[in-house]
Amino acid sequence: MTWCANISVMGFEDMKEAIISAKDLSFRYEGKESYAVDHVNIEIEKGSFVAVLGRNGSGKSTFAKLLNVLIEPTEGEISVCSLQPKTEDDAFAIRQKCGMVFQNPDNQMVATIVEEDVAFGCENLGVAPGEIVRRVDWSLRTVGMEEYRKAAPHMLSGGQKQRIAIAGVIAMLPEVIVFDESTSMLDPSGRQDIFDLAMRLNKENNVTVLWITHFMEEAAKCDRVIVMDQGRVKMDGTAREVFSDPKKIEKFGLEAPDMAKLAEALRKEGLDLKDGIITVDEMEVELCRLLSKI
Amino acid sequence: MLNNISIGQYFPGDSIIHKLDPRTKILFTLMFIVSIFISKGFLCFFLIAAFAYLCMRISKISLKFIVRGLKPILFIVAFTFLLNLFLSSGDDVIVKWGVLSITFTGIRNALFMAVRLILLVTCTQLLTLTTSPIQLTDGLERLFTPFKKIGFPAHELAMMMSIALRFIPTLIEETDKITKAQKARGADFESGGVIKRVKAMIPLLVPLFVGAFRRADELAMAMEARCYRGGTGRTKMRPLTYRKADYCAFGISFMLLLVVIALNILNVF
Amino acid sequence: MPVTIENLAHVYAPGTPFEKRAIEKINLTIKDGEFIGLIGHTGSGKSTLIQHINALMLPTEGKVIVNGIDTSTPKSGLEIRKNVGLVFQYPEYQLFEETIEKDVAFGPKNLGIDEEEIRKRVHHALRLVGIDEQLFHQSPFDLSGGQKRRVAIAGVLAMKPNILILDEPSAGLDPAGRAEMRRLIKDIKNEGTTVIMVSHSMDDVSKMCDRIIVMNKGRIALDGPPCEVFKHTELLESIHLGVPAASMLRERLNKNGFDLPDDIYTIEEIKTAILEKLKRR
Repeated sequence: MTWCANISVMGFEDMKEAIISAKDLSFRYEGKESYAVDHVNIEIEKGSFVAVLGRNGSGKSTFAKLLNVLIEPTEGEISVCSLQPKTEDDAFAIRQKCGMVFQNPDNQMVATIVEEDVAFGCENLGVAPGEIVRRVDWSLRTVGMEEYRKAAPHMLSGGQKQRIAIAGVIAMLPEVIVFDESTSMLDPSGRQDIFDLAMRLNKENNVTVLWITHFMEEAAKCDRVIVMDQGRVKMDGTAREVFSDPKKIEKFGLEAPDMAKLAEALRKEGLDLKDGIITVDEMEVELCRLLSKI
Repeated sequence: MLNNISIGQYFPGDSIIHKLDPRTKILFTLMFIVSIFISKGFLCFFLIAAFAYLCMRISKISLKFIVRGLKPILFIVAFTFLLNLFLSSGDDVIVKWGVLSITFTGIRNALFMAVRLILLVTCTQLLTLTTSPIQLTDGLERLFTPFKKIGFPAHELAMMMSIALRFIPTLIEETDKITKAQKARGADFESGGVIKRVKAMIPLLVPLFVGAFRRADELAMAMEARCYRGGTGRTKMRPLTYRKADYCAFGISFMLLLVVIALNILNVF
Repeated sequence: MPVTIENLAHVYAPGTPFEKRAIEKINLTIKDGEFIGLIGHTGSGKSTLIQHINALMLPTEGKVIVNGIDTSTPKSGLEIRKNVGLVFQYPEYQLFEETIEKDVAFGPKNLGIDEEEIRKRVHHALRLVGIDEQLFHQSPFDLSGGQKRRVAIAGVLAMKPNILILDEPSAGLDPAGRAEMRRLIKDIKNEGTTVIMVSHSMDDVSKMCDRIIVMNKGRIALDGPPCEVFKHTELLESIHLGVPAASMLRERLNKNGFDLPDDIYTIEEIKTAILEKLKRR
């Protein structure tokens, strides 16, 4: 596992093309002493699905806003899709390449009709009308909401609203989508739906996903997990690496998945379980292996 | 259950009138209103009413909706009627009680004003019943675009209006939630005198305002994240275009105005 | 302070095209000191049910009796709300006063209690939810999200309800916040309050409650202690409610010949059972 923020880049030796790279990226809110994002060095590989974890106030949302140039770095550099936010126009270009889905489904819909809302981003980009219609059709189909195109947002469930928000983002044809706790206000089935949709966009459309979450079960399914605390990257590695030490991640205000805790407890009792068990599936396989040995 | 709030009184349909460009319908309504205001007699009113009725039939809106829409102004109509009935001066007195008198002129004036009001509201209703609020906003934005040169914020106003429309149901729902939450804490919104009731609204209004500002903040950020930077360089998914039907409708409404003017000049009442 | 619900049904907008039967034939008795987890999907009728218990909603059919008072009795609302506290989802959005102390005092004031008693109750409630005394005179709007929520809960606790209903108390919190909320609710329960907690999270419910009521489509689908309810893994999954990880593992292992007792639902229990099985040789 790669450790501290400042050497995290070295951990991935056969790193493919980096779509996001941060060098000493820092941000301090006005009038605050400490950094909300504190000299972060990180590279995100194109096409990967990366979870960002951390307690409230750990700097993960601020990091997300920096990616989308909603705020500008106090120090350091950020580059998204080889673009650096030097001017207003750069910011505009970055926001097209790097879409964002927020937490509260209600507060990110602008229009009174679903299809108008999906078109909003494209209209801002100045896309030609015929092309907007095509993109809106495609986006709504991709998120499975085509039958709601004429519906009013307030008639939809939370999960459906988030799908519309995603449709609005993918209609802008981004290369990266940042989900900033997009499932935290949904019920379990809505949460599952939105996570699966993000996974599908990642696999089928090669969209790079940054998944900021409080839910460990979601992070456990991601390619890479980054743990932030006090504005710094504290852990960075595969889900297996990050979660296999329940004690350590508890220090950062997080909780290991139940199966990781169980594995730890069983090992203490002398069972010879392999390292890095985090899901029920893996636990099942390991225990059946042990049973067959008896 | 507040799920079925509908804003405005839009009655969905696919008639020719529904499909007209909103700008056409706004101008059409304007013609109607001008015609009503310059009319001097009942013949003109009859003509306009017949015309409005025709539009209503074409757009397949039942009279019921129009009548329902008239209800809120019924009081004003009655008030105007009575005011004109008793306070018009004239020599042709029918009945007289002290200062109050009913004259033939009074009756005519009273009827005239009442019909005028009813026609005015009916014609504007035809617009709002056949045009969704969002189309209306769109139409107004485009109509006012030429005035941007003199600094008129057409796009901004339209954006504000559509956001307001979007958030009305959300805020109504929120009001309902907060009301319930405060009731659960023993708040009483229903009893007591005026002052007590106004005071009782504070636990409802403060959270509502705080919430509205929070939403505004988040929405602004979400809009910015989706590349919004004002009206410049923006395109529309469905840009407004005038079609043949629009030119025809515009011609017809202009004719109506001309006929009304002619009738007035010829003094045919 | 028992609650009895008999044949309760609630219909929204009856007689209109929007008519919706939200809950149907609910029969339920809640005894003093119980800690109930109420779980179900959005739209399963759980919010409708809890609002009936504190008379914010009145039955279309059937009866709700709280401490001997029928909630349909005219003017019984305040008397019932004195006994049944209801904390809604995201309660931090109901804060409105200038200071934390005043906000928490709002509920008891409405009950018409004298100043000294109010002060005592407010301080007790705030201390219970872990708000520092130094903060009492600050604006509630300056607090962090988690703190705001705890102040809002204190606002209901200060009314000294015998029954406390919490709707999704840990929604939107981070893991540490969720753990703290669990501790707080346990403390409240330990003071002798009957607690009904509405939750989406099977894990939270399984870790805390001693009775679980599962709702589906406006009816009660399952009702019993966790070890009974979590035996029905298939039913729970068919209505898209997850089961605790330990129950799921138990189910899977048993399919592979582990033969573990079927009332297991906690990590601790399954650990012991697995060890016993594997070490028996």
